[in-house]
Amino acid sequence: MAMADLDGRLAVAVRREQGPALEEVSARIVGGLPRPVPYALVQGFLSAVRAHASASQALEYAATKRVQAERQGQRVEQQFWGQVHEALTELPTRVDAMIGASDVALRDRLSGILTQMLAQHLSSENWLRLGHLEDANGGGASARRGPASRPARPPWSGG
Amino acid sequence: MTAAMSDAVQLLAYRRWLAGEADWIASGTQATDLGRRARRAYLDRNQIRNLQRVAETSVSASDLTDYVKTQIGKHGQWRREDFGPALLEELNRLRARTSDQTGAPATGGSGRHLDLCRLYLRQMAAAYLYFIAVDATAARAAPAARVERPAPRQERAPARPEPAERPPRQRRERQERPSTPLETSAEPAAGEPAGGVAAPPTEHAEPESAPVAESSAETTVKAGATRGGGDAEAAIAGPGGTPGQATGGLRSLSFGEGRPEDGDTAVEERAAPSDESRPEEVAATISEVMPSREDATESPRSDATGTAEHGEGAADSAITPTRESEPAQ
Repeated sequence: MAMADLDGRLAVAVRREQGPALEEVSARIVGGLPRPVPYALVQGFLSAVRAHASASQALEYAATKRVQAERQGQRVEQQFWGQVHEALTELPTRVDAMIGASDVALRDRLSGILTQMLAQHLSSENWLRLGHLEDANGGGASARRGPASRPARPPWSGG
Repeated sequence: MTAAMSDAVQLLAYRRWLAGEADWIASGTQATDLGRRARRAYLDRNQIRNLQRVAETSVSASDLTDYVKTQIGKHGQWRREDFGPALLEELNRLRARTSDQTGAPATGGSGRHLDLCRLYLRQMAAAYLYFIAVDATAARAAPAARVERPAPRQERAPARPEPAERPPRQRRERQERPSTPLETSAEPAAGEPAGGVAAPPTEHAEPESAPVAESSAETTVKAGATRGGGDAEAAIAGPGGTPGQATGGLRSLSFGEGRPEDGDTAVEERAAPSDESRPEEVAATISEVMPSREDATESPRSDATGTAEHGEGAADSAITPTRESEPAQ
């Protein structure tokens, strides 16, 4: 119980302290691309990081995706995964700035939390750019399915 | 002063500072305007509720901005009226205000920013719900104005001869007449109340009411023809008009000769669509029933009294619904 409470407090502290900084990093990565990447790409990365919260797993994932994009000639995706890989390699530096290098378990824990935060910020920034692109293209950038494809109704119409 | 008391004093000072900031948000920011924009963008109230839920439960303001960015990308309503980008800009401005505040209590900067964001979103959600209520009230008032419009239509109605030209008293008499033949000419059927709803026969014998009686007989024939032969015979045998008059009315109904005036026209038009009002069937029914009045007290009569038992309600039920449901032309 005490360990879980400590984890919770740690996560809160890290999210509060490192949140704005990682937000800037993700905005820089996505803003440097000529166009946003497909949202499923980033969503897959976020799901993988949430399932395996460790920086090493995230580094492997980014490297693999970068190679795949290079093989298929997808330049934007290749650039994206290259910058993500670079940002992930910088995370241990941030962790070292927060705590001492003695506690290895705590370092791994912090690295996992920061990786999750980075993936989450990347996803939201990419969604934001996709929305702007859709507006610029007149609503044709991404096809909507289901309830999102229907026109909006007034909230007082009872639906 | 102990450490616990010191913490309590700090917390109290922080809450006091937050209350002042809430007043500033209500008056000095665009929170109300953003609520109005959210309403104009037809944002669903569940989305506003979810935004508030995220703000109240997240531990950092960056989670909140992440949520807003994701919603902007996923839902087009968040981009209408420039709502989502403006909200994002306002939330980032609150962070700058938090860092600029020198008089703020010594708590975590991110925590203060998150609290300001929560206050901001509360204000915005309240404005959003308020403008929804205002618009819903206006929308409810609009159909009421539409309902009041039929009054001028009724003023135009005198083009139709039926309702305006006859005084309401005569119309009531016409509606009461169909029940009188059944009461005066034959014994009431079993189960029928003895008093009935019939008007006194002397009233029908008055000469000035004769035309009304004729038209009422016609009305009864037509209304009865839609139900069966019993009503038709009862109307013919009625004291208000002779059988010949009723037959004349029946002819005018059947073959379109001597088209009756005024309200009879409307009644005839309403009785016409029924399949049972075809002239051959009506004539056959009358020829079967005509020889004796006593025969009329049998089963067809019982049907007729069953309907006439309600007095003017029976005639109303045959006439009034179609009259009301007929669209004004």
